[in-house]
Amino acid sequence: MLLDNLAKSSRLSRSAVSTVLIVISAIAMYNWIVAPRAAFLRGAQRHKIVAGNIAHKHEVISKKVIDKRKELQKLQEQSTKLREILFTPEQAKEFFSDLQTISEEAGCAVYSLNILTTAPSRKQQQPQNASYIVPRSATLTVAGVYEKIIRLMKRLQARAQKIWVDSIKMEILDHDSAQPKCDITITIYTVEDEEADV
Amino acid sequence: MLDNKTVLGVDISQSAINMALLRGGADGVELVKAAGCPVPDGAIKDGKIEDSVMLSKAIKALKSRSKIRARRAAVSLFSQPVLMQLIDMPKTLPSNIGRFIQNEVKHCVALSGKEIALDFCSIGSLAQPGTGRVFVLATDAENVAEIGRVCNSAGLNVEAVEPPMLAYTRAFYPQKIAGRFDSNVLMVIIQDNILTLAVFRKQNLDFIRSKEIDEKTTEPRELCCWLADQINAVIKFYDVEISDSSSQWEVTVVADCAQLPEGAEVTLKVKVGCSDLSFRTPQNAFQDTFISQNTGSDCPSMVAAGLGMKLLDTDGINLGVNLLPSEPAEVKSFKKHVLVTANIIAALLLPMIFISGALSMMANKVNENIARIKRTKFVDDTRSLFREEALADKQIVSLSQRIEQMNKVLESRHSLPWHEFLNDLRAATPNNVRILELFSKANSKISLKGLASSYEAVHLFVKMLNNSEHIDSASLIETERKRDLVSYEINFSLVMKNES
Repeated sequence: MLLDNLAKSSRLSRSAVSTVLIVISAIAMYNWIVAPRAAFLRGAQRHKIVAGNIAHKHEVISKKVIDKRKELQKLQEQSTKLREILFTPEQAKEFFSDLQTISEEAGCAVYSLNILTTAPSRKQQQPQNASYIVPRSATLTVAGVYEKIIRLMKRLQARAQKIWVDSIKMEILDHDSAQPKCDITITIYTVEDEEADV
Repeated sequence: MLDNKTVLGVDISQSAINMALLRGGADGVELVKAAGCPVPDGAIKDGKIEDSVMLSKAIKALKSRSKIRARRAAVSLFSQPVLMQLIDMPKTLPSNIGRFIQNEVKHCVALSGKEIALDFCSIGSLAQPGTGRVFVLATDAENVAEIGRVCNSAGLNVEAVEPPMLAYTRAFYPQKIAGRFDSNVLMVIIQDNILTLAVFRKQNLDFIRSKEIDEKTTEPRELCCWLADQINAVIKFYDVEISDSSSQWEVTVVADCAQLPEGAEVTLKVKVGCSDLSFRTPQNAFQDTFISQNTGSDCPSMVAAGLGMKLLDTDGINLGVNLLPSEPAEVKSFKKHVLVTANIIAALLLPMIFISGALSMMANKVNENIARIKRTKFVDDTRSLFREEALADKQIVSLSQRIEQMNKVLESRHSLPWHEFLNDLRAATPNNVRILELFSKANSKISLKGLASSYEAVHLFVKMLNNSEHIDSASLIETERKRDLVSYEINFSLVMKNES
């Protein structure tokens, strides 16, 4: 019926219908044939850009990681070097227990050894920003001839780990004696939290 | 071959399909190709199309087998009933001749109750009252439409449909009718059990009659006698009824069937009493036309040739009747329009397919590039690199903090070489000076107290201390004579070494 009407219609009407049909067909064909592939291509191109960016980032990060590995190695070497002059808690404990022996080996008689426990605990001090280095002090009172005291000082300071002599007080109590009494306050530093170390 | 001057005449009878491909040019009409085949059994029965699909296939097969291609075609009207009539126009011409003729045709018994397809043309001048005659051709419209459908589905572009008699007349006209002013021409055509008699007087159609051959008249000799009677009846009619009729007759009998006996020409000549009687069969009828025959082509059907000549619009008689209704022309135009539209859509589709293909290729190329990038660049997972970087950052920060802390501690502390200082002190102490007390204050500040034999000895001691590389600016703070000895107090600083 529709076709019959169309067949009988004027040339202008038929042309109009044809034009509309062509336009609709063109749009439909574009939507069904070209548009999906165009969208796929756009997607692929975007994917390529993203992949390129990722590849670029990959390169940059690879370089960064290499640099950081080097930096980390450098820091580790530096840290190892520094830690060599500091005590571990075990070493500190051992050192303080050996202090009497060291003094006696140097030829000094130990009057007293007072380990100071005034330093606040690390956790109490700064729980957020944990202190890594903890000072430990002790006051050693010895008596011995001057050379022996020098020897003791030399032995203390000749250790691989650093021992700081904070104060020294030497006095001759008996004017006839050649053995002065010497109070030495020493401080050592321990590196805490060994297991968290890098 | 496919120009507008190449046309196809298609003669479909009850028994055969014949085609004649003609080409018109400056030198006249040329027969390019002729072909024929029998009508498939059951396709046409009693002048009606029984199986249009079968008939259409047969036409198509003949066309393709003979490699005949033509844009325009004319087809014979083989179905019955067909009304061919000459109508005398009244002295006062009706205002609507078409309506007048339609009313006249309606009275025909054979066409009553049917939708009629008709066409007509004037013979003589209608302007002169009383002399105008109209040749009317009418048939069942359904028959014509069916022929049109069959031919269209066979791939023919049918432009005209007319009965075989008119095609014969057109083909014979230059040789048999043109220029015959002193004699009457009687065309007798037998085709598909229909006898058609047409008289041409002074080149114009003057009489036409169609008659169905009685089924009882099957015996050839009997048919020959009956035919002679019919011819004689027409001649007698003219002798009696038409006063100014010529007594000379030229009779042409075309028997397009094998029903007449051998020697029918002689028998007819004797019975009709006309010396100028020619008898034509499909095999020899072509000699009476002016169509030049291509050497390679077969002997064509005269009807097919005459139909083709209609489309070439030759100079001979061209009774302007065409039973093809104007509606198919609209349909054709519509089809053409649809074809153009479809072609435009196809033309649009093609580049879209190409564009789509190109886009797919580009996308594949891009995907290959992506795959290559992934193969070459993503061997290690980027995310693991990020994680490693983050971990390294964390470790660096942690280590840096620790190192900083250690450095801070070391910087804050100064190492004093106590044993070296004590050695120096012993070396710097004169024999007449005795140290009784040594204590450090504020780390590097040292205070010495003791006894000396004299002031000079004390000053010498201070001087000696100042010479030591580990002592910085030794100064005498206090001296006091106590009987024969001098007590002293000396302060100095130790030279410190920075730990960092």
